[in-house]
Amino acid sequence: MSELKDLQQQFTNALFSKQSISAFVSSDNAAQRFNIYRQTVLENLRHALEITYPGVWLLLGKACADSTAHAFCCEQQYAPQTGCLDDWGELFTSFLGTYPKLTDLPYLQDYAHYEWIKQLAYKAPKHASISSAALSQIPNAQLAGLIIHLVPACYLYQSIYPIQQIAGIAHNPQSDAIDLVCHTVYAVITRIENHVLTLWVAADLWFFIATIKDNAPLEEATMKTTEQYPDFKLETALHFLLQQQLIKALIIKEDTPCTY
Amino acid sequence: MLLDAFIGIGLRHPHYATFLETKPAIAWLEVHSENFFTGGGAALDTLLKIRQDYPISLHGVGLSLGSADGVDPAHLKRLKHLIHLIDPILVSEHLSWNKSAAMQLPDLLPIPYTKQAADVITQNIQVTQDFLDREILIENPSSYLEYQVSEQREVDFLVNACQISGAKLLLDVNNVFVSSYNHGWDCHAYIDAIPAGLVKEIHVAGHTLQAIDAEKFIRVDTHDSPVCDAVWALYDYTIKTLGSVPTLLERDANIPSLSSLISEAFKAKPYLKKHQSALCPN
Repeated sequence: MSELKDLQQQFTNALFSKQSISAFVSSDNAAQRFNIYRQTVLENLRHALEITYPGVWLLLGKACADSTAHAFCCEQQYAPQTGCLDDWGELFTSFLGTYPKLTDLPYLQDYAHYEWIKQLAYKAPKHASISSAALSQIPNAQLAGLIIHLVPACYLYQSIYPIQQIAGIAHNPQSDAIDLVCHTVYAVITRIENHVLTLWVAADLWFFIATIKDNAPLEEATMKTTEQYPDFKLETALHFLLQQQLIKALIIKEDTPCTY
Repeated sequence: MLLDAFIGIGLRHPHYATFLETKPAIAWLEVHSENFFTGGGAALDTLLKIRQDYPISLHGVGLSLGSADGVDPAHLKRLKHLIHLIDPILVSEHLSWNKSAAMQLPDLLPIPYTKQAADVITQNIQVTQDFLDREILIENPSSYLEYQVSEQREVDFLVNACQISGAKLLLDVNNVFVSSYNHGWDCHAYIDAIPAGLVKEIHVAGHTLQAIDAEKFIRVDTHDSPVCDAVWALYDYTIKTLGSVPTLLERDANIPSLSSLISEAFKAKPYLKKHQSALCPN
């Protein structure tokens, strides 16, 4: 190992482990000076989490959220792996689910995951959606093999907690108490222009969209959805996709893109 | 040449809307490259709109040019894509590292000024310039500690790395002041050691004093306050010595109104006027 590589590893290890750095520093007050780097790294990480998870900060309160974030950021295993902080922070969601001090808040992990997905939608590449005219021009004979490609900002989300109500509490603490026991909720999260939208949907529609997101042809997606949800209406689902500007492209199974 | 054309500010999120609405009179802007590495979203859309009216410089904080592990090809690809979108007037990075093994830390960490580190950073700058197919600028860091193994002065290390790699220098006058105070260097000697013509951009910014024991303070590069008189004085000395080059005011915390920030940036103008005969041809 080169001297430089070794020094950089020692520096990194010392940042997280609070090991002595006197072996490689010549300045006086070495520990205090080194601590400026440690504080900057931890504060930059904490700040990135606060930006990504604003609702978590509201639900926990700043002091508790900062303390939780600090505990997460001090773990070397969670350190960023790219030079772009926007890529980082997804593991904070699972950390919230296992952090002993937060066991009284079982919904927090799901709520954080909701905020993470909203962030992904916010930063997804921009892509135009097709019009209803494009879909209506597909010959009936080709509909079965049609593959629907969704816009990059379209994400799916589900939770066993009433996330919509929890979001309401986060932004308005005076709201009425909510019952955490509920049926699973489903959402499609997307972005139109620069606004992220959460569309709470029924289970059948969510299942259908999840199936076409896996590149299943329209006929197969419809069949699978109807098996699970006999009342599923394809027309309603397609209307939803078009109305919410979720369809990026229509591909016939022979891999020939439609020119609509 | 109009002196106003030399003066720019760092563009930060709180000012995006005001910029689009008011299109204030400022010659150029600088953004942190990594804030626009995402595939889309409001921030990138806004930058592309602002780019229609203002020249933009891309200033990176995450490439880790001083890393013994080399620069990350994926990071370079994202930077190149952004350069393609923005067509920046300048692309800059730091004399620092933040990547070790699989980890990338969000700070500009100090490099030991050794022969081996010089070879590493020169190689990394060359790889970067070759991949981007353009010259980059390297900024001197603010630092809080020195290494036992360092063999050279920072300024000599930096100038050599630029000269060997063909990069130019982004001289952060505040960083010179901060590091000189923290390590007992002569900040004027630092400026004197830089060849005229190597510097293509100057940064000024604010910093804070932090106690490290009962009697001793350290200066920390926080970018959270106005530029202090001592840094303006060093700026005066710098352009007198090296010539006037495009000058940018950075502010990353306690960000004031856009009009206040622009007013503060224009504090550079009397110094530029005073040394007008020394305008840098760049």
